[in-house]
Amino acid sequence: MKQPNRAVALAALLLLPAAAAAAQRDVAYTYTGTVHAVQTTTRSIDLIVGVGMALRLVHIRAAPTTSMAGDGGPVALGDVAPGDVVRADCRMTDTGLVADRIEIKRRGQ
Amino acid sequence: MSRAGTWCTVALALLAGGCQRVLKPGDPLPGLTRPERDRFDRGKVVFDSVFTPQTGLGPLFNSTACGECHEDPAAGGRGDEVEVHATAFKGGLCDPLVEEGGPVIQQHATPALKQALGIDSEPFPPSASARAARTSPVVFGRGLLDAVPDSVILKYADPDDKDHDGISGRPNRSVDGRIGRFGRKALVPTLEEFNDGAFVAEMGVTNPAVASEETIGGQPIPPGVDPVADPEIDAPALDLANAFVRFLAPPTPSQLDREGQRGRTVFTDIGCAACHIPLLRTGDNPVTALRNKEFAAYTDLLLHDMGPDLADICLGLATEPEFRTEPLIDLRGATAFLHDGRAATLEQAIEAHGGEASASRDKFKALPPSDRAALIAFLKAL
Repeated sequence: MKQPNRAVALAALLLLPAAAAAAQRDVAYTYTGTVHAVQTTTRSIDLIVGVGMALRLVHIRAAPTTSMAGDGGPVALGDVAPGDVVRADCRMTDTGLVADRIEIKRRGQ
Repeated sequence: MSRAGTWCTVALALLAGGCQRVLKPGDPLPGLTRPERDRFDRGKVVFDSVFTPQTGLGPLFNSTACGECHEDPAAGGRGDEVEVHATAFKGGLCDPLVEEGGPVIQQHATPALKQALGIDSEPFPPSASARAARTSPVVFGRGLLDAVPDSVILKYADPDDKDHDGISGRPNRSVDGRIGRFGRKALVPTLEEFNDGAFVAEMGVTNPAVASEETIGGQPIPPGVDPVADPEIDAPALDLANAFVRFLAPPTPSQLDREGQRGRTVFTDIGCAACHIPLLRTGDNPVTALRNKEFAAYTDLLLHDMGPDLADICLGLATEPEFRTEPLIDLRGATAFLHDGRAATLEQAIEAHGGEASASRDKFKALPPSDRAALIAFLKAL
């Protein structure tokens, strides 16, 4: 019984950092903000978010699997325009924020 | 009647008569519970706390304490500081210039930042299309303004001037699309968010709601310049500061004499009250002292075009000439008027109104001297 226990403990020790890192990567972020810029070539958007007058810029990439919605149906990234208010459900990856879903909540002026 | 009976009768008479205490600048709202009053008192300590670089100040900042800018005639009052804001209006959209440090241009730097970069203030954003000066207003009664339902604000909105009265107020929207009401351009939807953001934008004090510092004109803070770990104040301290501001009462307007009463009529007759709505009513609220209260607000919390002479920056949906109707609260001690303090008297402030307010301004100018004096007397009683 001692050998399997040691193996399990060793496996746990080895897997723990990887599991922790994966958990960290999987942390979900939801941002609702005003679109500052849309880059269709890199499939990304910059969102203005913030609290009060302390405003921040968030860079979010859209993956091929990112669900895009707005105007009562599906939309393309190119349909998103600066000034639109969008909600982006994202997760942090090694290369930054990637959106699982982007929804246009309000069209800009 | 016994002595106890007499006192009971007097107390009942006072209650029945709606005896109300005269509220001075800095007083708490009437009707706070004991725990709320305790938070108000402890929040005032946070509000007046002076931050240093060792306790989180900076590296960029406009002031060292909330109470440094909001101090006259009591904590929560006005200040003589004038801030600098900047944005860019391009392609029909307003850019708050976040990539260049954001719309608030901090005017001071900590010694460590000055040593690292050789700057005394945040660099003015090169892409800015406009610059604005902003005075520090009183924050009395802001908890009541916060408690006014959005539906009330929308009720007064008439963006297309469908009633053809020349007034076309519209709400601003925050970056996430909610109806705004705080700030001279009404960008910010709630009092709590305005305060949370102000800790960082005005003092460089990070907090649980805004955990990251402002950039230095869009560039990261040099290493070693901001050694205090974020957040630089904790949630309980932030909550107390918010409670203090939320529970500040609007001072009771002075009793109007005959001239002041005449001025109140003139205020309505010449159209001031079309935007400076005299009374607003709060909605349901967890705080009894803020729930279903009618109060003298003299604002509709909407954006109005004030004409090219007052125009400065855009912000959110607000274009350069659009400003939120300023609440007329505690005017009696004011010595500078309008968003940038350019007017030294109420007369000058009224005469500087343009755009949608042009007709009212012209009526004011055409008033006989006695009616002008009456209007000013009324405003000075607020």
